Amino acid sequence: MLQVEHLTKVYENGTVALEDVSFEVPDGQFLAVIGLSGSGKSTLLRCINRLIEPTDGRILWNGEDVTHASQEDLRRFRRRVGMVFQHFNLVHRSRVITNVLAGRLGYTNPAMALVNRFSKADTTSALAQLDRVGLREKAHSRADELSGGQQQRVGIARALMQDPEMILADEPVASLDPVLAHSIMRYLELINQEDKVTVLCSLHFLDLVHRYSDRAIALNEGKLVFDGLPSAIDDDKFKEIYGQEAERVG
Amino acid sequence: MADIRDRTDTDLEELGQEEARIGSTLPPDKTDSGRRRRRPLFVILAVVVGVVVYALAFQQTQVDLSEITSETRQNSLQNILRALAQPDLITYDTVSERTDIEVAVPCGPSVATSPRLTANPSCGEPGDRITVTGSGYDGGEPVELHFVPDSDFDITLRLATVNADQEGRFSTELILPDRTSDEPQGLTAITQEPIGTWGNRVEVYTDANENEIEDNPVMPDSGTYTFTLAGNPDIPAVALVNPAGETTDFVTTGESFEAATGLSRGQVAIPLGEDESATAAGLAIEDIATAGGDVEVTVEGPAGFDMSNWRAAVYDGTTGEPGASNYISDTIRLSPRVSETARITLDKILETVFLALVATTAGLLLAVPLSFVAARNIMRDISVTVTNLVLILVAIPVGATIGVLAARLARSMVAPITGSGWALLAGVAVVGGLAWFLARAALPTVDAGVPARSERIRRVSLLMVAGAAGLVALLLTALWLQVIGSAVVSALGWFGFLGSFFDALGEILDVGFTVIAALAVAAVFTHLASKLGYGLRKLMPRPAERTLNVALAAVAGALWAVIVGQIIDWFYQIGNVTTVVVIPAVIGALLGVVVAIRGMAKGEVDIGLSIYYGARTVFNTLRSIEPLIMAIVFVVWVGAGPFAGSLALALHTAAALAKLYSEQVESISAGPIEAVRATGANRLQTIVYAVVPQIIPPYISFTMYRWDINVRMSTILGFVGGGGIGSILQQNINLLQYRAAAVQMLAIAIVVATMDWASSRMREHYV
Repeated sequence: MLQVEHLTKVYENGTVALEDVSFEVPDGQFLAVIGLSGSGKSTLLRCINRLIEPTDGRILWNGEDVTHASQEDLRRFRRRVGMVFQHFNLVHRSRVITNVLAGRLGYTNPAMALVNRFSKADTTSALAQLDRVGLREKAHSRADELSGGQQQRVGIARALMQDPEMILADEPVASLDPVLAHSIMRYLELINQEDKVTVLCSLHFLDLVHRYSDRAIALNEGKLVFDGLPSAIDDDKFKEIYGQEAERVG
Repeated sequence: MADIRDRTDTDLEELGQEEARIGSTLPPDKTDSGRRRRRPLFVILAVVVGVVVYALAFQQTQVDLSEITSETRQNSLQNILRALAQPDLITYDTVSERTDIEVAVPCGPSVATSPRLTANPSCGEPGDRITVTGSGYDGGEPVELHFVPDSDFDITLRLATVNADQEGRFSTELILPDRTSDEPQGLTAITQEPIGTWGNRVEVYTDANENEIEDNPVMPDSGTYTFTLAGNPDIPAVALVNPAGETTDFVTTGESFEAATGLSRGQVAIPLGEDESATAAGLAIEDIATAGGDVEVTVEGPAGFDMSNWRAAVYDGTTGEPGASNYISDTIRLSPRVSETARITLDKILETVFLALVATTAGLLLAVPLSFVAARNIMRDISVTVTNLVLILVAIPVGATIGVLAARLARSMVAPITGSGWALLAGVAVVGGLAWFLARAALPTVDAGVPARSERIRRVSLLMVAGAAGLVALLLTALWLQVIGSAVVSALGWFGFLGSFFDALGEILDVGFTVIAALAVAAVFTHLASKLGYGLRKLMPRPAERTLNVALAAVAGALWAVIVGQIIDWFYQIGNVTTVVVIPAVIGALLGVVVAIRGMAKGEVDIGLSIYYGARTVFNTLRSIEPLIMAIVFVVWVGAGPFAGSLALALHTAAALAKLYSEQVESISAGPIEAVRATGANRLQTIVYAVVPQIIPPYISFTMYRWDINVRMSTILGFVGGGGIGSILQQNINLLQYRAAAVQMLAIAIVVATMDWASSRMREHYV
C-alpha cells in the first residue's frame, strides 16, 4: 500500500507545485490522476519515487518511509516501481533490447555496468517482455527507428523488466493518437489486472479515466480537489477541477 | 538530475501564459513609440563607436597602403611569390658553363652561336665602372658575373647576377673591385644548366672522398672493398658510419675502448676478430692495416651494395683520439632526383602528424572522465552532509599518503624479480588472475536483497584485496613491458620502434603507478568515510554530531591549509615552520569551523557544484594559455623536440576537449536519464546507460575536429622548439630560402586539407 501524507513541494524559484497532498492507494488499484497542465500531476508522480525530492511530508510504501530512505534503500524501492513517461524517454541511440534491459539496472551490480553486461536470464526475460508487447522482432533495432506507439510499448516493457509492484505512468498516452492511446492503456490495464500491479496514471481525457481507472484523484494548483470514483465527476466537480471556463470534450 | 527540466512541458506553458499576461498589462503605445524614437540615436552611436574602434585598430595594426604599392616592396613580394611557387622538391645537378672574354675582330655585333662576353673598357682603376655585355644565352636565363682575381687559390668574387633578355643578351655595369695585380685578371659569367630530365635521368659522379680517383661506390662481386684514410697511429681503429650518421661497426687493432669525441662518440671499439656484428646493416670492417702513412681498410658486404655516402673515421687505439674521417668511396647520384628538402620535409611532416595524434589521444584520455566533472547537470545534485564532507576531506589526503606508501612497499616487494622478463610475466598472470578471481567472488552479478553485515564485510575485504592485487599486477605489467620492450628493440631491426613503444608504455604505467595507487586508496578511503559518516548520523544524537562535525572540520581545514602551505613553501622556499605549518593550520582550522557551522545551518553542502566550478575554472585557465606558450615551458622541462610539443598540445587539448565535451553532456536530453534513474540505477549505471549513448557521436565529432586543429597547431609548435615541421620552416624563412620554405608550406597545406577532408568524412559517418 502506498500512503502519501501531507506532501508539499516548493521549487527553488518559489513555485508551489504541491501543497499538503494526502491520499492512500491500496495494492492492485488503478488510480487516475487528473488535472490541468501545471496542476502538479508530474511532480506528484516524481515525488513518489523521489526523482524530485519533496520539500515536506512523507511517502510510505508498505509502511516504510521512502522520503528519508538512504541511497541504497531508495534504490531497492525504485527498482520495484516502474515508470512510464509521456515522451517515452528511451535512449534513442541504444538498441531496443538495451533499453528494456535498463529496467534491470536496479537489480544488477553497478560494477557490471563498466563491462556492459547483463545476465543470460535478464536477456531472456527482456525478450519475453518484448514478446508480450508484440515487439520481439524489433529487439535489435535502434530505439529511434520505432514509431511513437512502439516506443511507448518499449517503455512499458522496460517498466515490466523491473518486476514492479507499482507503475507510475506520467501521461503515457498524451503524445499518441486516440487509437494508440487505447492500445497502450489496455497494456497498462492488463498489467494491473493480470500481474496485480498497482498503477498510478496521470491522464488528460476523462473518457480514458472512466474506462480504465478504479478511482481518480484530481489536482488543481497543487491541491487535492477530488478523490473518488471516476463516475462521481459531475459537471460541478468538473468545473472545480478544470476551472469555470472549461468545457467537457470527452 | 532533471527536476527542473521535467516540468518544462507543463510549467513552461504556464510561464509563457504568464508572460503574455504581463506583456498585455503594459501600455503598448508608450514603450513602443519611445523605442522607435530612440532607435536612430542608437544606430548613430553604434556607427560612431564602430568608426572609432576600427580607426584605433588601423592605427594599432599599422595599416599602410603605400607600403603595399611601393615598388621595392612589390619587387620583394614578387621574388617571394615566385620562390614560393617553385618549391624545392626536385634537385637537378647542374653543370657550370664558364665563359671567358673573347675579343671580337672586327668590332661590331655579330651573331654568336655560343655565349660570349665583352667588357668595355677592358681595363680600369678599382671602383671604376665598366659595361659588360653578353650574348648567346638562353632567353631569360640568370647569369652570375664573377671577377677572377690573380690568386693562388681557386676563388672568384661574385659581382652581380643579371637575367638575359628574350634574345639571350644582357648588358650591365660593374664596379671593378679593389684587387690590383701586375697580371691581367678575369671576368667570368656562370650559368647553371640542369642535367637530365625525369624521362631520362643522368648519373652524376661526385669525387666525394676527394682522392681525385674515380672509385666505384658499388661493392664488387668479390664482396670486399679496400680504401685508405690519412693517418698513421700505432694502433689504428676505424669506425664505419652509414649515410644516416649511425656507427654500424667500430673495430680496433688493439684493446677495446670508448670514443669520447669524433664521428662515433660514445661508441665502443671492439678488437678486430671478436667483432661479429654489422653485416646485417650492410658493411662490416674485415681488416685494418697501415701502409705508408695511410690506414688501409678492407670492408665486406653484399655484392652490388651501394656504398655512396658511407663514411669512415680513424681513431688512435692508444689514446682514443679521433683522426681523419672521409667518405669511403665516390658517389654516383641521379639527376634529377627528389631533393634533400623534400626528404626532410616528409620526415618532419610525419613527425607533425604523429605529434598531433599523440597529443590528441592523451588529451582525449584525460578529457573524457573530466568532462563529466565539468557538466552541470551531472554535478548539480551531488550534495553531502557536513559530517560526510569533513570525513571525506580528511580521508582524501590520508588515503593518498597511504597509497603512496603502499606503492613504495609494492615496488620494494617486486624488486627481486624486476630484471627477469619471465618472472615478471608469471607474476602478472598469477597476481592479475588472483585479482580477477577475487573481484568476481566479491561482486555478485545480481544484487538481491539487503546483504547481512558479515556478508558486506566479506565483500568489502575481498574487494580491497582484489584491488591491491590489481595494483600490483599493474606494476608488474609496467615493469614487464619495459623489460620486454628494451630487450626486443635490437632483435626487431626495422621494427625496433615497436619495442621502444612498449618500453615507453611501461614507463608511463610505471610513473603513473604511484599516482594511480594514491588515487585508488584515496577513493577507497572516501567511500569508507561516507559510509562512516552515514553510520555516525544514524547512531549519534544531534548535539554530539554537531560537536563532532565542528571538531572534524577543524582537523580537515588544518590538514588542507598545511598542504597549501607546503605548496607555497615549495614555490617561495620560505622554510619557516611557523609560517608554512602553524599559521596555515590555525587559519585552516578556523575556516573549517566557520564552514561547518554555516553548512550545518543549510543541512547539506553542494559539493558537486563546487567541484563543477573548480573544474571549469581550471579548464578555462588552461585553455586560455596558447599551446605555443605552454610549449616554451615544456621545452625548458623536457628539452626541445616533439615530446615537449606533444605534452603542451596534450594539456591544451585536454582542457579544450573537456570543456567541449562537458557542454555536450549538459545538452543531452534529460528524459532517458530520469527514466534510467527511476529503475533504481545508481550514478555510474545512469552515466553508462543514459548519458554515454547520447554523447558518443558529439564526442567523436569533437575529437576529430580537435585532431584537425592539433595538426595545424603542431605545424607551428616548432617555432618555439616544440618539434614538428615548424622548426625547419622557420629556419628556411630566416635564411631567405623561400623555395625550401615553399616545400614545407605545401606539405602543411596537403596534410591540413587531407585531415580536414578525412575528419569531415568520418564525422559524417559516425554522427
